[in-house]
Amino acid sequence: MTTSRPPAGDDARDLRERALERLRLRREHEAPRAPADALRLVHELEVHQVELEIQKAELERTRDELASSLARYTDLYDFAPVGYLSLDRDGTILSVNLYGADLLGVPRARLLGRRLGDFVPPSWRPALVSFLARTLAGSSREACELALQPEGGWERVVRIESTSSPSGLECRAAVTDVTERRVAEDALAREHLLLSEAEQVGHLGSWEWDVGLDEFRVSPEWRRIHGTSEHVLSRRALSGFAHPEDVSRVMAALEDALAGPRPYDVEHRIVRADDGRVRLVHALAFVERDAKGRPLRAVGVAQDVTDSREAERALRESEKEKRLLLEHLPIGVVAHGPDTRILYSNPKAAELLGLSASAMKGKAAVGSEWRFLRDDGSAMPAREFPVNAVLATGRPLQGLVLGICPPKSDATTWVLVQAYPELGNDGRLRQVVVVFVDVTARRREQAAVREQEERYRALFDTASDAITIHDLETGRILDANPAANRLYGWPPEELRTLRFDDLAAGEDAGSCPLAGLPGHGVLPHHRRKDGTVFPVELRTSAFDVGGRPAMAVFARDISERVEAEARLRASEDQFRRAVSEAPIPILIHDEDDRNLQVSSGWARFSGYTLDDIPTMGDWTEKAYGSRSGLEKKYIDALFSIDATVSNGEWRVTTKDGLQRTWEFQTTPLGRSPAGRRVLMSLAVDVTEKKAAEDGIRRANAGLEEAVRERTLELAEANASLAEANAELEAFVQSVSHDLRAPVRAISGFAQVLAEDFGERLSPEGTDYLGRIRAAGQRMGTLIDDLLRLSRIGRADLELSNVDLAGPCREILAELAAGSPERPVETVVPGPILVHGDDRLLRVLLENLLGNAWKFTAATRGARIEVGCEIGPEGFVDVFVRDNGAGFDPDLKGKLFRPFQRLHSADQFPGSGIGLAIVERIARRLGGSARAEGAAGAGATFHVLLPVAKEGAS
Amino acid sequence: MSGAPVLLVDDNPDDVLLTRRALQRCRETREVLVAGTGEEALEILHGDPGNAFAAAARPALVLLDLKQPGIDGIEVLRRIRADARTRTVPVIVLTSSRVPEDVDACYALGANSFLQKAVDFDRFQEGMRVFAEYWLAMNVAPGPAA
Repeated sequence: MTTSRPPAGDDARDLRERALERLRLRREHEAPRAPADALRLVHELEVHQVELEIQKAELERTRDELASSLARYTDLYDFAPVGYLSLDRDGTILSVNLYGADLLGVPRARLLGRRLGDFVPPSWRPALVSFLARTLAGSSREACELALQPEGGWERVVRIESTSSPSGLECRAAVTDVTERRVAEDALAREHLLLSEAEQVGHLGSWEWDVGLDEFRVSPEWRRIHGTSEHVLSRRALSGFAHPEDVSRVMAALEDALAGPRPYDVEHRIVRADDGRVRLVHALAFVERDAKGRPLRAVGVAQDVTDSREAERALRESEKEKRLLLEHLPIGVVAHGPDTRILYSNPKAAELLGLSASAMKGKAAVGSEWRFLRDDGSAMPAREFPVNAVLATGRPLQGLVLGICPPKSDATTWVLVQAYPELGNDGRLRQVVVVFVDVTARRREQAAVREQEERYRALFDTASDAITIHDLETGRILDANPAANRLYGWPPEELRTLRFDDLAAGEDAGSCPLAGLPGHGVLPHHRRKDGTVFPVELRTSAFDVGGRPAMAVFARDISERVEAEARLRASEDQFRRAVSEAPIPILIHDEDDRNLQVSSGWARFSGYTLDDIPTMGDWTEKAYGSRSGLEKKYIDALFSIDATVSNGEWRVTTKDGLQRTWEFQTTPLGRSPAGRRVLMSLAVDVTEKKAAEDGIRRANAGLEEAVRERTLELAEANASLAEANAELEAFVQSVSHDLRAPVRAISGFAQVLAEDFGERLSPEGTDYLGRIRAAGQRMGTLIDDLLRLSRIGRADLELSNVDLAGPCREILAELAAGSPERPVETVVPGPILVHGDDRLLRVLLENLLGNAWKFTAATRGARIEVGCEIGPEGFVDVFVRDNGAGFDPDLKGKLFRPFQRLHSADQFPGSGIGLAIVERIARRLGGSARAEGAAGAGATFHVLLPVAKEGAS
Repeated sequence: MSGAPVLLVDDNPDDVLLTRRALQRCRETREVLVAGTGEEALEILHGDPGNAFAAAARPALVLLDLKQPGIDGIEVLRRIRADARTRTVPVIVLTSSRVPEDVDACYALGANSFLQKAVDFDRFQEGMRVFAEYWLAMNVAPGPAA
């Protein structure tokens, strides 16, 4: 509107220039004016006039321009899509354009003079008032948004911008309808809110990546997950969140996704920026590409899956625990499918069913593997199997007792079974679970209890004692055994109507309440049905019958025992009197050192009564001078005897101080009622007899002394003789050995001579040589025999029990083998047992039998008999009898001398040493030898040998 | 005469003569070395290495009389058996008498046979023949095969 302003200096000068120009042009057409001043004045006036003309034209043009401008602005004002209002201080509308009137829903004409506040909802009015005040107070532009309530229209939201008029009294406001914008903005905000909430709930952050700009815009939840406040990130910054160990993997996945075609999908750890915590994130993104396939943009999400992974892990753990529990449960669990096939079984189930868990899997319940038993032991049909029962009824099964006979085993396992169906989410049967517990042991116990009950019942029924069971309070008989019926003479049904008192009689009746009975005692007055009274021995035992106190009474008729006891007492009295009246000393005492009884004989001989010697110690002190001396110890040791023993003579001191000699014997009397051993010591006073004997003994003593001295002398002589003997034996040994060498030389060279020079010798010379040889050989034999004889005296003895029969048979067999042409009858009985040295005995037998063999050589019907007879005490008489040549009895004494021959060597060869050897061996073994015989009538040789010893081998 | 010699240990010249004679009657005849004492016998068997017998001509059989002056027969036998060179040489013990203690002791020390010098020369000669032929001809001796 510059055109409407008055001309400024430049314009004024310009106006003057133009006015002067116009005047000059006019003067060229007009005559010059009179004097110069007047002329100049006229000129000025003319210029001024022109100026005014120009000015007027200008003004007219301006006025026209202004009028059209005003018309334009008025239209603008009225038809602009903005409401213009001018308001005074209290909000009264001073002017309004058409749009403004439309906004308020009222024609402009009626609107002037009303207050804008009338069209504002009451809650907004204070805002309006303050807005107006703010506007009028200052010169700056103010703006606010308000709700308007047009007349007959929807509430709108308007934005008001206003300034105050220069006078400061009027507010000029431009009002824009922003309802649509606000609605859109609200919707957008709500969506953002929803998205944000969704992201927060799902721990799902989102991001958008402009690949070209390398800008990641991340959502609030993404920022929360990553602990950052950055809204925009670069790829490099993004990689900073990945866990150092996962960075390369994450970036590689991102590159892969950019290269396509697979989306970005990676689960990795992040390190939160703010607190450094490590979380697990699942990131997923899709890449958008341009027409050429180049990546433009990627949109992705990142979800914090730490908690869900943890939850999954926890779930798995809990599954594992549940499984572990099942595996170790001491209860068998088997899950069957609807077709009865086994889906699952725990180890205990397998154990109870006798199959491995893997072997059970897939098996149907109705297999030949198992045989089940009912509770009563009968075979269980398949339809009663727990799984089948549940399948048939669809209902759980409880408390079934079942016996399992596993394959390859005959031991039945008893189990208590529960089974129930398990339905799936669709309501259909998913599986049948069978649970069972091993009750074999419990069953066995129950059986044992039953068996025990039966046993007790049998015991009760067959007991010889009467047993009645009473109610403890009333005494009533609850039960009675057959023995009770017999004892009391009541039939069973009647007995059970009685009370304890009814069985007692006399003094016992009523005086013995049942509860007061002792555990064990004797009641002398019990009564039968027929009224007879008898004594009983009672035992009682309290217990419960069905919760009520009861008492079992065991009664035994002791009539006979009472009588027997009476008889015993009488017999005891008799015995006691027999002892006490005995005229010899008798003392009865026990192992507790007590003297129980002394006889009158004891008191008479010793002067002591039982009152003087109540204990054995008292007796030994008085009689032997000591309470615990050897005598006391001897007496104490007597308690172990089991038959009468003689104790010999004891010198006792009597009450008078005299010495007497008692010969004791002690007899065990068994045990006292208290179980102590009791002895009866009985004595004979031999004081006078001893005195007589002592005289004889003294006379004998001198004699014995003489004998002893003589024996000693003999022993000494024997010893030196034995020594001399031994020396002689050694001498013989040595001499005979040394003799052999020259004899051998004589004999040997005689033969050499015969062999080498025999041809040159005359027959006479040859004969002489033969004699030399023969003599030499005889000499050799003699020396050998002499050595043998001497050896017998020197040999060491090894004594044992020897049966001679065996060696006899062997020797006779050897002799028979040596002369098979001789028929000799031999008789050897068995066994012939002696005690001696078996080697020497064999030599003895060889000589005896060899002799008999030799001297029967010329006998027709030769017979050799060996035998034995009982000899003097301790000896066996062993004999060898033959029917051979015999001998002259007059020469019997020479028979056993060495080298003594009774026959010529021509008749019977030999050196004559054999019988000497026999005699020597017999003597060496402690025995002797002798011979019986007559010339031509055979001979019998007897050898006395010690009898075999008992216990020796 | 072939093979290793026989060593006779006996101090009695009569017995030596008779034993030689008995050995001559054997089918298996050997040279007979005679030692009059135990010392001589051991010298022959274990003497210095220069001794020809010690090395090459070790006796194939020893006839040992127990009764010897000086080192007696039992001791000679013990030393023969104690020496590795003669441990396996057969030794026949000769005695006048059969004292059981001597017999036991000889066998315990490793004597191979025991022969009584019987007064009856025929018996002695026969015994010597049997033993000598057995030990010299029939028995397989230890050591390298001949």
